[in-house]
Amino acid sequence: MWAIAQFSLLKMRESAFYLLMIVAALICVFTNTADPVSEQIAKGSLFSYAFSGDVRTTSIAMGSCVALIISILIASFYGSSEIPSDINTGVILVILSKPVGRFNYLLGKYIAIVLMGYAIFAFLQLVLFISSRFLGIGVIPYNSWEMAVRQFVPALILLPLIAVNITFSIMGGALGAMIFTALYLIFSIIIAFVPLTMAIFPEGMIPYLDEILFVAHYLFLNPLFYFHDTAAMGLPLTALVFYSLSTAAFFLLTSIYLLFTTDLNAAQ
Amino acid sequence: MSSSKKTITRHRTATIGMVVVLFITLVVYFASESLLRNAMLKPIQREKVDFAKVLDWLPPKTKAELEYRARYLDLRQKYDRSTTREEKLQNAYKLAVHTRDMDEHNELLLPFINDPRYADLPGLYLAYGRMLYDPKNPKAISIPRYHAYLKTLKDPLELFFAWREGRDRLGKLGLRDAHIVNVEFLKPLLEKPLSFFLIRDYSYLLDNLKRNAKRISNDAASRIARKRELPGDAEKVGSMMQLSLDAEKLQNAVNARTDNYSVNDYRKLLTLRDKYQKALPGKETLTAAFELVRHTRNPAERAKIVKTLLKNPDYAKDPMILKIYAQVAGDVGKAEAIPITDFQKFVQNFPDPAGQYNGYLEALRRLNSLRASSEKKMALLRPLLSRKLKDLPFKDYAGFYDQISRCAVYLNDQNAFEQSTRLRDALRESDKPTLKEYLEAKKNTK
Repeated sequence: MWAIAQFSLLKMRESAFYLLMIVAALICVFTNTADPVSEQIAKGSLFSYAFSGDVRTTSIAMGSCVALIISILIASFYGSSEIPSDINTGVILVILSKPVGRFNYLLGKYIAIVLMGYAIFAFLQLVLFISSRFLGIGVIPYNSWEMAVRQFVPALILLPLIAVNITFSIMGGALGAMIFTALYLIFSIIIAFVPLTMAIFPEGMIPYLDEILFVAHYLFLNPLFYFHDTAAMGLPLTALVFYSLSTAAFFLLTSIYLLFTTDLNAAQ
Repeated sequence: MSSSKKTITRHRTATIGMVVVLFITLVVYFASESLLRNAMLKPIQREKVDFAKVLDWLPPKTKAELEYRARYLDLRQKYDRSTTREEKLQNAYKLAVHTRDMDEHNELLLPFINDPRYADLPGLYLAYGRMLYDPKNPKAISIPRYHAYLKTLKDPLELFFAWREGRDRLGKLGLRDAHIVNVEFLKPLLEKPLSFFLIRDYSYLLDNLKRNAKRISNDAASRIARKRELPGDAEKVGSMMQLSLDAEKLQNAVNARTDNYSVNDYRKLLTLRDKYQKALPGKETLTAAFELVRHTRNPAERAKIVKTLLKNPDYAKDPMILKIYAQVAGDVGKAEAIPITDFQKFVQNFPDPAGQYNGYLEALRRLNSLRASSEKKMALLRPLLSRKLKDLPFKDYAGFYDQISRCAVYLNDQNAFEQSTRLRDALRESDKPTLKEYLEAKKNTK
């Protein structure tokens, strides 16, 4: 499993990747001069309910949001192509002919992409920390552990998203994975507002449809949990970790099932 | 054979393992999702949600439609869940104001008007006001019916609100002949005695009546001048002008009254009365009584409270009673008031000299706050003229004599002036202590 992960991570050693990191770091530093997301939203608006509870927590810096988007994009690009390229080139048959099971193969790939995603995010955070601490760039100063932890909470979304991406890559190939992951994320964001609007508006606002939508919201990941103030500490934070792990586990199980049922010779 | 058996067993174990993991995954997913959802939604207080702000990101037309529906459902649910009669009325009124359906509007409000069970309900004027006169509403009630309802009201505040609500509703109907309807609605106010206008804010209704009646008169006169006279115009010119003059006269009389209240003052009076009724015996009663006695504009109520308190020997000895009793100083000459001589006797017999001084001082302050005449101030302070220098314990009494001398000049009272200036100067030159020194010395002796 570790060997497979290592094998995948080796692909990161490309000059284009380093160049991409420099550009990403510059973008993050410049966007960090904008106000945090929670302070850009009008009080009492729908989005203020989506991001903020009644607890006062440290804000998520704008630079962190951009760092997360970059991490998701790069991880998705890599995640979409890893398994389909192994299937297309027949490498997967070579690997599976060794004493490596499908489970270990899949887990190895998953761990590699997760590590890569978090490494990118951590690197960008380090750049933001240095630019804030030593160059004074950024609206919110990075001056406490609480602040640092708060920036990493939204990054938990990488765990389920990468699993979703891998599942779609087995189902639909590299391009299909990118498209389906993007669509899934967009639907997830839209559906995430369903419980919120149901809590804000009176019952029966959209007759019959609200019940259907409420059931449908279980099928999608809720990205709002990762950004809401209440999930920044204590029990909700623990629940968020379990939520991310369970969602990731569900999609990985689906991936294993797909690996067992897919004809791996088909591409050749 | 053995190898294929092993493979089958491994596959079965793997399948069972996957099912178990899937089950655990789903349990953890639903539990954590529920916890996170509840944590996220817990801080939301639906009562405080502003639907307009929440829907601000939508196009104006969609926003307006959704906002209407959200508010409608919210009010409907509140109405359906109302338990008390008062709550039901309030929510029915809010929903009726909001709904675009006239039938629903009438169904919500008419039961309150037609059902005798609601006849004594406070705030019923809201339902009556909403159903008043509207030409577009076939089930609207007439102005005489509204007047009949007004006659059933006893509480002065409720009655004023009912008059105001009716007038405001007529103003919002966008009638072409609004000034004529207003006069018809407000005319019965002219038949009321002055004592009816306990709430000073009736003044603006009378002002409205005055202006609208004058307008009708002027319009009729103008038509006559242009030879476009309508039947009854000749009578209208005179009758409406007279009505306007009567309204003005009454308005001036209401404004001139010193014993009526603004709506806020009257509300405060009710609160203070309630506080006094519920106060615990002792300091709390005296404090509540002081606040009430100072706020009420009814000398009879003031007198009753003071007399009740004086019946209690503990209260009669408390220095606070002087502050309360001093409030009657402003009632000189009014019917049902406590005579000022009673207050003066009480102060002179009060055991503590500092208390005696403070009693007079408080009474004088009360008169000053009411901008009382020199005559009244003299009536309060005159007994001090008969005192001798040796009977005056503090230098501070010089202030009272100074006040008497000034009142005496105004009243052209030579005797009082001479006596007061003599005592004032003697006090100033004497070696008597000031009140502050007296109190400090008393404290040190203790």
